Amino acid sequence: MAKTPEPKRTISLKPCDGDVIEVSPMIAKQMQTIQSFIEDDSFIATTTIIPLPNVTAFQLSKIIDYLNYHSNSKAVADNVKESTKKFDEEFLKELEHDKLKELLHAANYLNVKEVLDFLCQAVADLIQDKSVKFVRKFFGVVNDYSVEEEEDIRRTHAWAFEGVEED
Amino acid sequence: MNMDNSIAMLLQDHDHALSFDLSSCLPKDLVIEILSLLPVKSLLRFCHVSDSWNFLIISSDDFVKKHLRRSATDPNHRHHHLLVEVKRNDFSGDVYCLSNSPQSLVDNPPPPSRSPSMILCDHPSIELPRGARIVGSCNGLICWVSNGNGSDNYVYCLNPSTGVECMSPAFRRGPLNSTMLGFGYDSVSDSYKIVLISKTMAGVYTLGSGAENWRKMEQSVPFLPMQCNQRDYGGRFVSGALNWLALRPDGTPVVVYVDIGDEIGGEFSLPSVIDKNSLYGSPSLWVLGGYLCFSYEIGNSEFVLWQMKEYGVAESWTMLLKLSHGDLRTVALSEYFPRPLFMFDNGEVLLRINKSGAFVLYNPREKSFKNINLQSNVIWYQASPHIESLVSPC
Repeated sequence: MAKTPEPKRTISLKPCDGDVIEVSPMIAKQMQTIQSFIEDDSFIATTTIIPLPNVTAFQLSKIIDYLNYHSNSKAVADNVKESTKKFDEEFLKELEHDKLKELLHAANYLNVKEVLDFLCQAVADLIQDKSVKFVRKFFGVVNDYSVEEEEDIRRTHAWAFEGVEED
Repeated sequence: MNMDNSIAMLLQDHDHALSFDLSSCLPKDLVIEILSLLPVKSLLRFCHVSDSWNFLIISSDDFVKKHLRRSATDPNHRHHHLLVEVKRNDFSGDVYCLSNSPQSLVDNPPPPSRSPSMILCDHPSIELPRGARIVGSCNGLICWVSNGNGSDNYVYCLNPSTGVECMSPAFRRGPLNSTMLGFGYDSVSDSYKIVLISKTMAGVYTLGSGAENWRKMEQSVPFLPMQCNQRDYGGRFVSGALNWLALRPDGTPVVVYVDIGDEIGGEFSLPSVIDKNSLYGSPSLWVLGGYLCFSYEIGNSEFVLWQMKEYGVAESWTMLLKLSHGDLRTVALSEYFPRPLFMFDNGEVLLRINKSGAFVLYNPREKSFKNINLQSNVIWYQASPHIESLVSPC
């Protein structure tokens, strides 16, 4: 539904593992990385295919889905709040932790603010009530504390360790 | 070709990223972005993740500021709370707690007669010595003053989340109501300041300055601030200034202020309909949605709230709401004691109606209101907005 009526005006994006995906200039514009290509004088929309070696077809289509849904729903404002919320929830439901991080990488590479903000909030919501162990694993952080130091910090902010979810 | 070059450069830029295990390692700026969205409680726990995270979260001034900015501009106000004074049976001192976010109080009011935990967020309570009083709350710091006569009074500044506290030099004061205090943030010098005004002195203390004495203010307020409410004498901090009510020599109520940056006092008028008679209607100043507001009651039957659209411009006072006691039929008249607590981005105002948990959410655009009952064994003597932060008072 997001395809623009004039095929000549679409931008061709080539993910690393699939066929070329055509996007409308409106959607492409929101991807800063793509936008910088388009603004280049030598860019010819009809013939140039932009290769995206860091982005899979799955990630690219997820990002495009998100942008399409949200740019269409913006016009209708308040009364679509509920359905937008539902779309966002469904969108995240399909993403396991690793997929979520990979998508965050892709959105970061394409530099698409709306998706980045959404995914950062999604990760924040995910880890908010999680344990230190979970967060270390999620972000791949190595614990460089000694046992004594660890206990010391734990004592200082004991209340912050109450009500933590099981991993 | 130009095009190929730029693609190559782009790829090269991201080459190193490809060599990482993408699933476990996010770029540092993204990690910071994610952390800046978390509540303080999570962040204090995640100090524990590693030494570098601990450094980032607690010691990095940039991160603390970024987190505060994020929290302050969150459209859902998730990191805002109400600082609620809770009754304690043994009269040993005052206990303050933080409520759930105003939005969640409105969206999911807990069923009546439940434990306070339904209303209060899981945050350590703030226990103050007997007679101590809250002066104000700014950027996650709570300023309070001890209750003593003579020279051994101190103002304290506490971050209730991190537990870090510091105190002012001693000051002398007479009875409580003759010393007015205020607490705010000076964005120019990036410091927090306590302002003290009494009949005999007008002083400023900058937190973390290490000064041993209060600094004398060059130009204080033109008239001494007055105390409108026994529990409430802290100046209202908005637009970089502390504001109190005061009386001109002819008896007209006005706003007196101290600019926290240049530490100079001044005055401006209240709405033109306000005169000496308004003084009988519990006149009060508030800060709602970032605006200075003024409320009073007319003849014990109507509650009126004004908003100053442009700070310091007396012509910009605009009436925001007028509630008659008759409108609030569900509430026993004798208990009627409205206090505006919070304004949401859509302009709706949360008002406390009595001490035992009756609230209304007023919509100024539609002139409609919704009753909200937050009954519990929490006594809402006093409640003021508070935003959680990692800011250190020292």
